[in-house]
Amino acid sequence: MFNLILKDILIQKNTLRFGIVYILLMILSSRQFDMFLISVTVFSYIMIQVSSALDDKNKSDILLNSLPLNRKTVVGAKYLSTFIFAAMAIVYYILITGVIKIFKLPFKVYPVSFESVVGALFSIVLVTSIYFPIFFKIGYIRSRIINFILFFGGSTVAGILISKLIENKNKTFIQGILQFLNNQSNIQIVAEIFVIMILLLVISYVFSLKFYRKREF
Amino acid sequence: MEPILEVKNLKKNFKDFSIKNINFTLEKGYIMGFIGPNGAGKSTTIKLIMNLLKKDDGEIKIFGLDNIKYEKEIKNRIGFVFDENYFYEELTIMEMKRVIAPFYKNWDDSLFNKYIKEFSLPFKKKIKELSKGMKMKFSIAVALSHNADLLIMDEPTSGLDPIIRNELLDILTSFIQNENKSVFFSTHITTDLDKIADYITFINNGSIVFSCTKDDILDNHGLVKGPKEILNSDVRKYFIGIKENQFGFEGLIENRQEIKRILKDRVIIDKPSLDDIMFYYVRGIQNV
Repeated sequence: MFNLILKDILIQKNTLRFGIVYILLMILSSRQFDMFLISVTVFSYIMIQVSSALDDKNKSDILLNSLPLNRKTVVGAKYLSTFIFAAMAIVYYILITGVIKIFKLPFKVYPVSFESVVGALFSIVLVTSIYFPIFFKIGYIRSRIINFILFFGGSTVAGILISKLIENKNKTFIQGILQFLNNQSNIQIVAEIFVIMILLLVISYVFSLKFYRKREF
Repeated sequence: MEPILEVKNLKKNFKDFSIKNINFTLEKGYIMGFIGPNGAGKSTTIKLIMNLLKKDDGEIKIFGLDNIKYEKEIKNRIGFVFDENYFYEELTIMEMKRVIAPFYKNWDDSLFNKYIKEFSLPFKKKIKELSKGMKMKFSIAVALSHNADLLIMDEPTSGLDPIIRNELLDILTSFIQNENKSVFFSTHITTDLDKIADYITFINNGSIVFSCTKDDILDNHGLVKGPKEILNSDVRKYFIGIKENQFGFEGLIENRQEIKRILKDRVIIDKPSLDDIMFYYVRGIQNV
């Protein structure tokens, strides 16, 4: 499985170079707003997309499924790659902000907090958990439209939700949730988020594997 | 002794094409050529053997084992070469090897390096920068570097020049020196098989026309040439296919001795090539 993840990285040398520029630009443009979550999520997502696109372009399903490996391994490696990509994005972010601080460059940098890492992981898990089953069912090319809707639709819905949330912060339902969260320690909340993430991943993985096992090449 | 590859009553339906009840067997130590026109079902059969397509019915046994139940074990002992390049074009030969090699239990790095040297392949070049012949050679190097017992090749020679094609045939000949190994080799360039194949399996329109030794096929079939007058309906029924022109006819018959007895020296009977055989079987009588 490790060599499939290695493959996902090796085929994306250009994307990795692009990532440095992308995250640097995101940091430089963050005047009033911490861009950590967005830049890490978006860059991880781009890595997933490019690796899926290159798999499809090279018709790698034929190669991979002619090798002595189970389809389980192919699916599992894709999920694991996601976390490697996320880790790379976080390392990029930390290194770039580190350089800015060391050289005292005139840019505002936000430190990376534990909460923001959890937040970024959560949004990556959410998006990939929806995307991968579709990818394994119909491949990259045919999943592009769905992917587009997912990406832009998802961010629009998230934006609307947040603005509604702020607008209605006095309503009982929202207050109920806030109350619920208020009564819990940070560790409890983080633990809950992790449970949700694991659930999402497990359900998504089961569907992906089910779809991929039925695929013909 | 168990056959190395056994296909029994294999069926697969598509919307506009189907594999109909295919049967054939390949023993250890032999090269089987799998021939047929484009679209006859060669690649489909190979994909079914490799479990890239799911069969509807039938049985495929490799090394005596079910090809799906023991998929991983079997694929460890199969070397495959496909007609197209399925390697990641963005990677170099070295990188691609690093990704593939760990999957094989018996990967032999020194053997791989030997082939790369022998084929003069550039280690550090990206696969997309290689010529078609080089890509094919890389494919063969991978297929031969994990001590595979069965080579499955789908049109490995298509689009290659005669020099590289001959090199490939030499490699296969030396591979088969070990009598525990076999090659299953699809092609529509039948001259390649004249040189090396022991068995020929002929598929047309999703059905097997015949599967037997090359010598039997070439010895029994006859290419008959003669004047048109003798082609009455009694004679015609002996023919697999006939081509007529204003001067006479040429046709393929299955039993050379039989037609010799009937027509005596009113016709000339030649030994057909595999191309002739394929041509007349596909063309048939109905097109005359």
